[in-house]
Amino acid sequence: MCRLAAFALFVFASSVSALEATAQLLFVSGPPTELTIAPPSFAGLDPLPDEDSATRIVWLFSPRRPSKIVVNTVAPGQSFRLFTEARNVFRATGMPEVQLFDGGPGLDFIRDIPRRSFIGAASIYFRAEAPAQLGNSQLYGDDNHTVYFTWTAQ
Amino acid sequence: MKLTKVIAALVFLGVTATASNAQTTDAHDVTIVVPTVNMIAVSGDLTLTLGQPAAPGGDPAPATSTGAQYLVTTNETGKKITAALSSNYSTGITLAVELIAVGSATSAGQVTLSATAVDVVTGIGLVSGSAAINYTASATSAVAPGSETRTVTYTLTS
Repeated sequence: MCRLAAFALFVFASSVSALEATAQLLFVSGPPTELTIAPPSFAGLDPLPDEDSATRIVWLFSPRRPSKIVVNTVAPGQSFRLFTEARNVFRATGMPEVQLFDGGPGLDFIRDIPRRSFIGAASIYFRAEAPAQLGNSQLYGDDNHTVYFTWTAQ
Repeated sequence: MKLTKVIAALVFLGVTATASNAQTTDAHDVTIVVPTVNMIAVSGDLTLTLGQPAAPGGDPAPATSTGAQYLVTTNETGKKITAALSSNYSTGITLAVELIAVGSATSAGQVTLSATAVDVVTGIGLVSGSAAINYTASATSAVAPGSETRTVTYTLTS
């Protein structure tokens, strides 16, 4: 009976560990983002950037070690500039704005996600720039990014 | 032993279930659209006053302007700037203009203006900036004293 109880306790502990180790959930919500560059207010200036912060990121069940979320993009034939930043970060630390390049490495987006926390969230801010020297969509086509957010160990 | 098996089965199922729910990456689509932009502007009005002839009976001394500028933005290639007068000046009066090239464009140098558009800068592309406009007005001695005003229209075109 004692052996059975010990085994049950072991199984319970294993179950909790397994839950913590495997239940991490990361979601990005919101419709696809479209950023449209606008003409400048005056000739001689570069076209105006566009920005958007309608997208949210939520993470659940953080692991037993401090963790972070990195961001990178896949955008074949990228012509224009895309920046992103986490804002209104809940239960973690948002990193300064980063510029995304096609196929670039994961860049720190959110850090210091506390271990064993239940939930965290942030707004995702996107900003696009296209100075005149970078051309336009008629010349090069629109930039289509698939932006990846990955939760990883810190 | 039977209880042990039950517990083990439940744990196995639980672990399998949580493992299949784990998601540590998500993606979001972002599209950047850049419309064509072609803009040109020039600095304000100016007056050119011809000087006294260098010698009696000679033509008035030409007048040149300083400080005029044009500003241009284009995110296209193969553009040019043309210039035209609203109407020709009276016979004997000439207005010439030189636009300094912006970016890697090419200036046509000093060009005499008329009511027919003429290229003043070519090869403009993918640029935003400003450069100087230099005007030179001249007249022959046959022109009666007075003033004439014309509008110079600059067009950024293909």
